[in-house]
Formats: sequence, C-alpha cells, structure tokens
Amino acid sequence: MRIVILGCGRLGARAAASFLKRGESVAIVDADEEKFRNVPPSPDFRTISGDVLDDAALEKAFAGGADLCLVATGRDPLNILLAQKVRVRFGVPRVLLRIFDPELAGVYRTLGLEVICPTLQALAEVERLTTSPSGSDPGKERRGCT
Amino acid sequence: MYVIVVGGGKVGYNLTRHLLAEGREVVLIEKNRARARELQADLGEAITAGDGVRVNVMREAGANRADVVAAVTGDDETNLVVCQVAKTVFLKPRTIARVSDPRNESVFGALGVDLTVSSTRIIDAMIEKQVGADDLVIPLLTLRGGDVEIVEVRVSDESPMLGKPLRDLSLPTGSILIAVFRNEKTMIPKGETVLQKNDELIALVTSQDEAALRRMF
Repeated sequence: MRIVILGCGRLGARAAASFLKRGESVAIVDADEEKFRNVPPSPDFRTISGDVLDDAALEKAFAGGADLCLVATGRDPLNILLAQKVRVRFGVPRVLLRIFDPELAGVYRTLGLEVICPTLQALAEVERLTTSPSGSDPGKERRGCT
Repeated sequence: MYVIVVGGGKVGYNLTRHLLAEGREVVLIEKNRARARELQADLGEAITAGDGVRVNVMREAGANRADVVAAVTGDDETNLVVCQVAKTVFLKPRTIARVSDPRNESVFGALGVDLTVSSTRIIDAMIEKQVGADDLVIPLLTLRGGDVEIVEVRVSDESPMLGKPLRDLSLPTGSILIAVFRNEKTMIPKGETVLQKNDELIALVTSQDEAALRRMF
C-alpha cells in the first residue's frame, strides 16, 4: 500500500515507522527536516521537506498516487483543510485525520471523514481505568506510554 | 438579518462597524481577549471574546439564528472550519470565507462555502490586467470563483467599434455589454446604440472570452 503522511510529529513519525514495519511504502511531508530523523531509515521511506500548505510539496508526495493518507499536523483546522483538499484534489480513496476537539471530531464524522480523536480515546481510557476492577493493577498503567 | 463575523482583525473590525452603521444586528467573535477588550470601547455589545472554531462559542453567539456567517480571520483553514461547522451544525446560514491563499478558493467552493473573497487574487488580477491592457479593461467584480467578471472598458480613439451600431459588431460569445456611460449619463445598450470615443462600457464576460473582448477595443 502507498501511504502519504502529512506532519512528522509524535503521531506522524510513529505511524510512518509502524507502516514501514508492515512493509508498506511511506511518503511523509514536514517543514522541519530534523523530524524525519525520528523515523528509522528504509528504502520504502520517502521524505518531502516542505510546508504542507504548499501545493508543490503535496504534489511531490502524491506524485505516484496514494491508497491512504494520514493527516497529522498539530492543528485541528489545518488537518481538516488538508484532509478535504487531499480527497478533492488528489482523489485519495482513504483519508484519516486527527482532530483533538471532540465537538469538531463529531462534526466531521457526520460529514463522512475518518476522524481519530485522541481526546475521546483518552477519555475512554480514563473511564476504563477508573471503572474496571483491574484498573488498580499497577503494571497496566505503563501500557501505551512512551 | 443577523450576521456573525469571526475574526477581529482589520477586516472583521471594519466589516462589523460598517454593518452596525447600516443598522444590522451583528456580533463579532474575536479569539484574542486583549484585542476583544480593545475593540469593546468602539463596538460595545457587538463583540464577544472566544474562538469561532469552537462549536459552543458559535452556539452561544446565536449561530442557530444567524442568516450570514462571515469568517474573515487571516487563517484560511480556520475560516473553512467556521463555515463548514455553521452549515453542518446550525441552520444553514449563508457562509462567506476570506481566503488569503488564492489556491484555496476552488477547494473552499467545492467544500460548501457559499462565497469566497480573496483580496490577493483581486489585487493580483488588477495589476496583471492593467499592465497588459493599457488601462482599457478594468476588472470590477469577480463572480463564481473567477469564472465570470464584470469589467469596465474604455473605448479608445482607434477602436474598430466606433461609429457602428452594436448589432453590427460581433462581440465574443461569452460577453455582453450591460451599460454605457457617456457624458455623465448612463445608457442601457441596445442593438441600435452607436459607440463613441471616450464612452465607458460595463461588460459581463467569462474568463475564457476576456482576452477576446479586450482585443476589440
């Protein structure tokens, strides 16, 4: 699968590493080249240093086509713009995007986007840890932390 | 009519003032609290501090009864989200987005924003066209994301259009003359109207036929 990731932050870099491990090919766009170092080198890994708002950078990233795009910059409105632009402009069949604000996440889910909302997931985890009887198991607290 | 303006920069502030002066009901939402306080002296109750991207802030501002939502922050993506949320969550007001990057205009249109305003593109179009056309064709208004324009045309001394009735001139298919200004008077052009030197014309023209129209004067 050909995957394009926009934003090489905490999520973007880890997702890239994870996709590469699974044998997928990954292109990632970020304005800060330093961040590419957070992804282990691989022949299937392509980096494009440039602003995600710059069409030239996007065109390079999507040049060979893409089956999936993950939009993971640090700002909700930017992710929302990019996700829809990528869908409209480059016809990517599947676009995942991160939205921190739970209300906006709800709005864009109803508009048909595949939204990942870390806040709602953290909330679910908080609820799980504080209601399930195994919640007091100290070994479990570390799970998922990096 | 109730208007919500999002973004209290120069554009949003002046727009709000203008709407208030016209007697409209309007509220301006500004994210920066210090800026909001600063504007309060002038705008009084018409300003509220908050982030227009947040659904609650818009709801509290009365987005459910808004007829128009104008998102005019300096940030294109914020303007898009404000408009889309207004259309999806609230009762479908008319949405207007300010666009700084002209390349976003067509994307915004495709994503359901009713109207986009790009000062960058308008100024750029004016510079480009005025330089190219010896000041003969001046764009006045752009419609439909640049597909159609209303332009002002000045008839030059050596224009081949002089002295003939309009019915004998073949204007480009995608254009029509809508007004002729002559000696302080306005005329609606008809087939028998004969153009004179120094007439000023207002024409509606598609972007494809704009160059062809320009060549005629």
